[in-house]
Amino acid sequence: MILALIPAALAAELALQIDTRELVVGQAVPLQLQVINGRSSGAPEIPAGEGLLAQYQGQSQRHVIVNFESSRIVEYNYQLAATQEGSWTVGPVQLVVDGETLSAGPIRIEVGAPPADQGGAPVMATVTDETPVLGQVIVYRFQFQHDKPVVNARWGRPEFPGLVEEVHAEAAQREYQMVQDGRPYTVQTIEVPLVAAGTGQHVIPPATVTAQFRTERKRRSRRPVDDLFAGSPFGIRGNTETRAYSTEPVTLEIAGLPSEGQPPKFSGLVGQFKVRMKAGQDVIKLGESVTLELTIAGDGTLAGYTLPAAPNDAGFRVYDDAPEIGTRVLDGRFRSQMTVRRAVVPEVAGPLTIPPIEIQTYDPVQESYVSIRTQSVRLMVLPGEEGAGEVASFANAGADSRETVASLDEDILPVSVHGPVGDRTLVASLPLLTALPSVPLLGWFLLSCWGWVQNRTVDPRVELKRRLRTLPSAESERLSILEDIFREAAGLRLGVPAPSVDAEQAESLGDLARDLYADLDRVRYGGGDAQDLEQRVRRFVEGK
Amino acid sequence: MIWIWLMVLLGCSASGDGAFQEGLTALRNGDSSTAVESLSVSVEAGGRDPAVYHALGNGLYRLGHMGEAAAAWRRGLLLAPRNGDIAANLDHVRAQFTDRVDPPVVHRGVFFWQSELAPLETGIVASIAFSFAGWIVVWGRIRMVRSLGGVSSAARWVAGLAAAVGLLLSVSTFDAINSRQGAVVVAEEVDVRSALGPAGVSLFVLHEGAEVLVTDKTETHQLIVLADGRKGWVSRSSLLSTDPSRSFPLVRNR
Repeated sequence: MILALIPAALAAELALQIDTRELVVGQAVPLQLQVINGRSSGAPEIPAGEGLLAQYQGQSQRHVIVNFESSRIVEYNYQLAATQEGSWTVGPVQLVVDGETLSAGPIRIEVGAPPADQGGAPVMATVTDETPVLGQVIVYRFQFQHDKPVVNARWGRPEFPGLVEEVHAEAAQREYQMVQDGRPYTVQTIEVPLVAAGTGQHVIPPATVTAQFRTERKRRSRRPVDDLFAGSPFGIRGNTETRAYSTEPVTLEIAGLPSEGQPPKFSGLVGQFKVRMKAGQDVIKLGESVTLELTIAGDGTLAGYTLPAAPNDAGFRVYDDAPEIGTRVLDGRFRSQMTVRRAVVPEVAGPLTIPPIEIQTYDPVQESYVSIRTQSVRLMVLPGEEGAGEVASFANAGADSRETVASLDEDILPVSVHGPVGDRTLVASLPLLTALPSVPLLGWFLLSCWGWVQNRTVDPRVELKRRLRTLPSAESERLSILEDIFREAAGLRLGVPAPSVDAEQAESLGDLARDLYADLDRVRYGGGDAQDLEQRVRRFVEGK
Repeated sequence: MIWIWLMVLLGCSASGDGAFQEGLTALRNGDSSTAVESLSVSVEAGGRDPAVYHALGNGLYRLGHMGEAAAAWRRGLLLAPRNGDIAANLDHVRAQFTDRVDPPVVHRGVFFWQSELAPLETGIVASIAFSFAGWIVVWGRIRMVRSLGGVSSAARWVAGLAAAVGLLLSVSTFDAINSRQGAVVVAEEVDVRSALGPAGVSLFVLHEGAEVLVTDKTETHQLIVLADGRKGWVSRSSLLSTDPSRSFPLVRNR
């Protein structure tokens, strides 16, 4: 499958390439016919219009790699020269490539007037019309011709008395490579569209240009390094020479528009214009809208112009978009175009004719007022959905006739009472606000006290003393408790449990303890005297 | 708990309510002098309530005492910052004053909620938050006494958070109370001087209704500061405090 796709991916192509599509008479530009990924038998003839001449220059070949894909391009190079003003086409070119006939083009080329002959002067200033009328657009053209390489050129823009710059256009700058008598030279042009604004004679002062030319230094012997870097390691051969040139002043005589024959609905447009109206569709339903595209184009300014509105009782309503105005300056010709999209909403079903738009203009070439107009547009309006397009009126049929309550004056607002009043300051409520968290704090304190009381322990010596004070009267039981008290007291002193106290440990506590241990032991088994045991145990417990 | 809450909201007691009702009736009957007299009695009896100050301001306004009316409404607004009627009245009267002076700030910017909440409200929330945290601690103590172990970590977090909220609101409430050092000029025109005594010079003149901040006081004068930073001494009798917890002396002497 991949192998099957390879031929498709490498299918041959034919292309026609040219740098610019706008030439002037005498200008020549390179033209290439490219055969991509294919083989052809030879260089074909390039069909060109009457004002163009294509001459075969040679063939070249190269490989390019784009996105890891290699392409082989065979280029047939031509020189395309413009010989006559007009709009011409180059191509289409047909060529058999790998047994298949391929086609390229055509390309439309606009050929303008050549630069004016400067008669040997390096700079020249001209206007397209030296006697314009008020409102007419003229183009001021500055030409700088040179046959030496220019490093930098700066031009001094003159004042334009009696003229204003066209608001939608900008100055156009172009450069031509020309050949005259086999000698190449360059022409740089700057074109400024201007609108005549003040009647009478006006003089446009000279325009200036300051140019830096590259000059070549003469050497006795040429070094190999000069050849390597074309004379200079920085690409600039030799020194530069600065020269300034100025044009002659240009005199204008601006005339006013003739009042004789001026139509009452004169639009103010001066120039040669055409107007066109085109509908997006011919058949629509009632309630829908159709877009009309109104285009007015010519060589005059359209700044500030608005198309005439549609009549009120025409059976349709219109809504205009914001106009789009485009301008262009090329080879001394000014072109402007305004496009307005107008939405038309029919009000009744049936055939609808949108009347033509008529505009009164002044044509400086004919030196008269002329009327330009569009064709009328015919539409078929079909009945739409039920109720569509019909404006229902509810006037005088229970409509809401209420009005907003009007304010007569302003005053303070009365008091609204929502209950008894009291002291709402924080100070007044501070006791209660303090008491609120104090309740759990108090509870915590009481609980802590309770826990302390619960966990409290009694001193064992006190307990022993208490037991000594409450000895039973029965002798045997009394002796048993006395022994127990003694052992507890001895255990406390020794730090051992009471039952584990023996004679040796008791002896370590002194004579009293030793004797008490022995006497208690004897009395338990019926021997010895128990008379003073209680007193002696008491002394031992109290540590006396 | 709900009972305590309601008691706090209602101001613990309906102090000064009788005099307020009398003043309100007089105000509705168009007797502004009697109304002001009754309402001032209500204030002195502890009726420091937004409604009382609202009515008192209305009565003073009807009598043409604009500066005092502004002071009364300012007091009411400090007790009830969201009361639109009082705010509207204050705006209405301020538009009639000569001096365009911004009122002094009533809290720091960081405690932004004090613009919408009265100190009493934030104090209540702080108290409840502290109380809530305390009850969680008590509950934990009970469990300890009964040998059931302490409270869960979530309960500890809640208690800590409640205590933090309570602390923050306590600080903001304290700040709002301490920031109530405002006063309104009630004299028709007052000279603001650089120092007390003959050595001082007249710095600027304020007119009735101008709201100022009081930063120092003597027995006879008060040091006031305007919102734009200018300061000076004015006679004490020409100012009326906007602190709602203070008395309304000019009304009483009227």
